[in-house]
Amino acid sequence: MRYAPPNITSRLLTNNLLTIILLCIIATAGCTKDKPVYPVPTIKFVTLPGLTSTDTTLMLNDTVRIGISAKTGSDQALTHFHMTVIKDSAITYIDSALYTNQLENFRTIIKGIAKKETRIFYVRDRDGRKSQELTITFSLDSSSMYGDISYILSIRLGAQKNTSTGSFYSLSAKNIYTKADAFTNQGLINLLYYFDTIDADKNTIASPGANVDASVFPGTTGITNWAIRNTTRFKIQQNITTNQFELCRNDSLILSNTFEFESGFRKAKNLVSGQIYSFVTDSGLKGLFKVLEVSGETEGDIAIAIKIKK
Amino acid sequence: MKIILISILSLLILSTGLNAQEQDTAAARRIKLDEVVVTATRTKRKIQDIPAQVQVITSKDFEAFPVSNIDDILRTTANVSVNRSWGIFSKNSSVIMHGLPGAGRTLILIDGVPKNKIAAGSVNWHNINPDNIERIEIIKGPASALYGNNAMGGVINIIPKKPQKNIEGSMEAFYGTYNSAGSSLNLSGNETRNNKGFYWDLNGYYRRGDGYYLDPPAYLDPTDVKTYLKEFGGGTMVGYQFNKTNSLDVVYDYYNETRGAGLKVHLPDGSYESTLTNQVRSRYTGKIGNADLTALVYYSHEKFYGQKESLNTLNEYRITDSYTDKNDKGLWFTYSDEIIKKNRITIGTELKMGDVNGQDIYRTSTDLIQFHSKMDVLGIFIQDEFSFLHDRFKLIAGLRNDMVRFYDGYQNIVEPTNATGFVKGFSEDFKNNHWNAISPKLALQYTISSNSQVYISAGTGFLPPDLKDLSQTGKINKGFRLANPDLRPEVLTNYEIGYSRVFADRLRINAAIYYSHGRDFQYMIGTGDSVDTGSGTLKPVLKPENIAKIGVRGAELTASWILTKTLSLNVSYAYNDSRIISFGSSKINPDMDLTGKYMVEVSPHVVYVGLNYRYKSFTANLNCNYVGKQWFDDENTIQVNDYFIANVRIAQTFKQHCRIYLDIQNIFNTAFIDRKGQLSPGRFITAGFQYIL
Repeated sequence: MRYAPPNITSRLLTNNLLTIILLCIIATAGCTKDKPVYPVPTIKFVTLPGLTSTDTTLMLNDTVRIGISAKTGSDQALTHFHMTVIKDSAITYIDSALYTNQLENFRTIIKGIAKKETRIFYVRDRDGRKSQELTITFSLDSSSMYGDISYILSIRLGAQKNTSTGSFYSLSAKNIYTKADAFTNQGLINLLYYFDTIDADKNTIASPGANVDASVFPGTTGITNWAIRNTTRFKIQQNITTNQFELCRNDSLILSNTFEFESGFRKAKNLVSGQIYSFVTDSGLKGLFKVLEVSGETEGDIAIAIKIKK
Repeated sequence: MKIILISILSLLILSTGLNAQEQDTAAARRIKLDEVVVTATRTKRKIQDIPAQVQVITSKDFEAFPVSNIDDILRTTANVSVNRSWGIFSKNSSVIMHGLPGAGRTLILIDGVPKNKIAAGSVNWHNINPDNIERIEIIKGPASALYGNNAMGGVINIIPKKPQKNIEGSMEAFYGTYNSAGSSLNLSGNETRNNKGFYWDLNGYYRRGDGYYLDPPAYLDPTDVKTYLKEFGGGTMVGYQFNKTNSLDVVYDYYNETRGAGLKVHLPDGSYESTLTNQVRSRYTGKIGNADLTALVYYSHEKFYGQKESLNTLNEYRITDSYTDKNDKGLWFTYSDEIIKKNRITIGTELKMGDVNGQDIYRTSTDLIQFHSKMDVLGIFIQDEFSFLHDRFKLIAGLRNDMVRFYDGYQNIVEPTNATGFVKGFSEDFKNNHWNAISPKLALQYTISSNSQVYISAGTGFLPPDLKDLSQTGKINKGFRLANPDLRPEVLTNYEIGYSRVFADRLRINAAIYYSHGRDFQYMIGTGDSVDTGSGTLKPVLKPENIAKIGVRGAELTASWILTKTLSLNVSYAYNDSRIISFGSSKINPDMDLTGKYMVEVSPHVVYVGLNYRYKSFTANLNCNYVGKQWFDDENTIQVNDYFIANVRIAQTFKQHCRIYLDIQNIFNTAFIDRKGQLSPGRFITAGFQYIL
């Protein structure tokens, strides 16, 4: 029998194979870095002159300003600012996305008809660490009175290709503008009307701040080229009857059907005659509009009645 | 680039001249007639004795072909298309066989272990080490009679290398376009003496790349960044040979990848997906008397993490963290014996168990979505391989019964906002469901002569529903999906006639025509409702239903021609007319009718031409692929353009141990756009060095 000399390399490898394998597994699977434990983000009211930071009793339509300051406690930015608004028993949640290590948020609050209006705030960081909740409550002074409204009986706005009637409207100036005129009065424009063929939204009332496709109002005076783009938000009101709309003489109907600006929609779509929408502008103007008549498509028009809280 | 192409062609022409001198001194290469495969019948069988279209890709082919990913080489095979639109930066690629789209309709095996996840049928091709492959066996046409679920369009079995020498191995490093680079190390040994002893393998690989912009320059915005890639894999195998016929081995594989999605808003690493996979399998192969026994057990755990950040059309910022754990475990056992002369019976059983468990956490709002579900498949099968009339006729008859069970489907929606589209939070336990699938197969081959055969076959395939469609309601790319726990498996029957012939040991022709008829194919039905998921546009509400009957009329032709001792040519063509032949009336949308529409992702014409040159230690491969137009959507309103891609590899081995190679994929820098409107990486050049122990 021939003697086969041992293959030292392969013997060494075989004999130590299990050790090599174990070392490899430990090296790849065992080395996980411990994550540092960070404190949760901090949140507080800003206490500067002119800002309210404690529970307060207000008259109807009183305006207060609050400020919220928040800071991350970790190496991860704040990504989520949450606000819960409780008006008597109605609850609205508003989430804002952000990406910042430090947040300062100032809000103007106009006291509505709710007897008790509570706002709860918190922030979370990128990894989901949640701050404490910050709460402030505004109570309604029982001696409050309802305020006046402006009633615009009927305005007619033209769609984007209507050559005789302007598509843009200013709630403060109570005036209709063509595209060219609106371009020179950008800061005044709150509403616009067009017939949507892209997303099949058809008769649509929006505002310059909504994401209206550039092809709807094209050209150098088109909305996408505006420097100031005011935003108005809308909510359909299916519980308000035409009769209630006609009969309301003060701001009670507007205030009882208004909403937090951030929770509204940027567009009132697929409008048909008889529908009633509430709206809130980014400057805090509140109101209702009723669709009186719609006719035509991109060359057509819409007639609406508007009630605005003074 | 023209200079490179001219140089390559010159080399090939020059080599043809050299070739004449060589021919006198050495025997000419011949077509292999005795190549054996195991996948077609789960028994060792010569290719020419199998009544189906079978192709084998060997490790030699890997050396000669420009391959960045293992699925690249499948393009060389007739009737197998690969959708990998971002090249090495693609997270997923789908392999389409026999005109049947969708990653889940082709069964992919690693040494018999299913690579398709039970959860979705998808396959991660990246966690297969290309350096560790002995051969790939490709069996076209449905094979559920032997393999159960997923084996509708065909079966691809990737068979790893088994060490042959005392010690062997290789080391490789490469560098390429988009600053991509990688290295690999393979070491293995076989200590068996007198058919007894250990064999082992240890391997690792690493690859990275800076990537490229997925959108064309005109469409780039500040949030677009280059996609990127970082991956590391490794594994080990230990086996013991008890005697000549009995062996047991255990294999462990590890894989970790991170792939950028080409989008970054605020987070330093932008949107990306990361997958960590651990797999272990053990196989026993043996003989008791004349009977062959195989037993296999496996477990795979995939941990997925996705970080997604985006700005929607309203400029609203979103961050979502997605965590998903997928487990796949199973075992199979086969017993095969020639009980009666010329009559080999194979019986077996197979159990596959899969589960998915995950959550999506929205970091910019309060939404949280949690889900889990499970599916088990238990199959038993029997197969008879029978030869008669002096072995002129070979009959294969098979029957498999699979019991499929879906259970523990659960979804929990917490504090939703319009980011997820849910109106309020809820949790739901989906009802359990189970199905039974009987898959028969019958194939008859007639051997006309020692080098030509003709066959006729009828086979079946089935595919159970995806766990997501059964139990996950929520946003998807197309709209807002409603889970449907009442879904049933898709079923397909295929009728095929095939012919193969070898001419003068130099030219092999394989041809087949077939018709596949499928029922209960799943499509999304629009309910007519829509959901605002916060992007400013409404998404349609969709519900998956088993609604369509489909038909595939197809043909394929393959020619492998050894032109000279150094030069060979492979040509293949596949035609597929894959259509919905009848669309049922849905209760939720009776007006929806897709009858006559083509199935997405299937190109009717796919052509491959490959020219291989081998002279001494120099190899060159020039190949091109034509892929015809494909439909993008089920409604057939958007079509993806056809494209033509040419690739080349040249390689030279020095002193038996050192090898250098140069790959140019997409030589003409053809810009083609995938179904999502995203660009291909264009021309991709890689140069590599390999040291072989």
